[in-house]
Amino acid sequence: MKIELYPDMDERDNEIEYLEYDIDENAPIKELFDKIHEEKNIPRFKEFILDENQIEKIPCEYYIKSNDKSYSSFQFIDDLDQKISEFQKNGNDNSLSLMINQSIGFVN
Amino acid sequence: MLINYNYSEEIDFVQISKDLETSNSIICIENFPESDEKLSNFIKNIGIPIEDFKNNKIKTVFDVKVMKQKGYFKSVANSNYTFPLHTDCADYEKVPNCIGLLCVQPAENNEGANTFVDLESILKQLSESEIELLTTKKWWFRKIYKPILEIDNQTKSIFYDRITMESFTKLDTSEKMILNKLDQIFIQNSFKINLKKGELILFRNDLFLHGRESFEIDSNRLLKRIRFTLINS
Repeated sequence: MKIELYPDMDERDNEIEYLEYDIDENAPIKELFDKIHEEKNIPRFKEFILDENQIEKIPCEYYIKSNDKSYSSFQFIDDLDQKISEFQKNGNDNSLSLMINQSIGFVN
Repeated sequence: MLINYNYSEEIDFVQISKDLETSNSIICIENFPESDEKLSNFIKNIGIPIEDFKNNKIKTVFDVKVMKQKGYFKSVANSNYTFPLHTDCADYEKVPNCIGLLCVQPAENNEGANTFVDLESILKQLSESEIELLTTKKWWFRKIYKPILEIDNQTKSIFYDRITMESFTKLDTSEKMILNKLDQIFIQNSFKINLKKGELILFRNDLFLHGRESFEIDSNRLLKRIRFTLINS
């Protein structure tokens, strides 16, 4: 299946990446994100330094884009066990438009 | 330091705006209803609320409470940890100059108190050379590069969020020493407010740093947060 991977919210000037995976669409969407993490070498967590004795790991967030080009159209994926087939493919050429947030909104 | 009001339909929005514009005080409005919509509409009388993709259904309001996903906190704000004194949105291009916090449920046993330090108190503790350094040396706030202090003839502002500054950028030893000294000054000059249920506090995000003390992880502590920019600023 085809994927449009939007850049992190912090890197909006970067290009959209186009990926393709052979994956069972009955699988939970977390399996698709696992593949993306592995292939693109995207860390699954961001470490936050609360003080010199405490580092807190906070996991990435996953978003799916609805059908317009703005970043406000991204919807948070709450249930990562939901089947891939249940998400709307709103990208070009019937692709799924996804974004992994690893920068914004993790502190306050 | 605290200016008190009681919530009513006829509350004096003009005076509240003036208080926020001109004084170095925190506004406390008692008996505020527990409603995102009412909070958002109230703030629209004095400022422009900032929408955020992580907020509630009413896009200007965020629930500050313990929230975990798959065993991990969703953010530092959504943890039960002490939150050091900071500016909200210090890493945004345009930093909202006001914050509102509505207490829906305080933490038990006086835990989770809100902490504050005001810019005037901070400046009194700094030498001229330290102020010069803090107004000229720039720091990375994630993708934004700017000084901690901005001072001109008309205005003074502070931007500080050590967690963001240190987590997205590698600081050298001398930089850490500067921040360690600042943190010490902030803590020594801070005061705390134990918000009661139904109290809404409004304060300047550019003139106060705010934080919170830790609380039990199974606490039902819930504050509703709204960020806004004053209409006349």
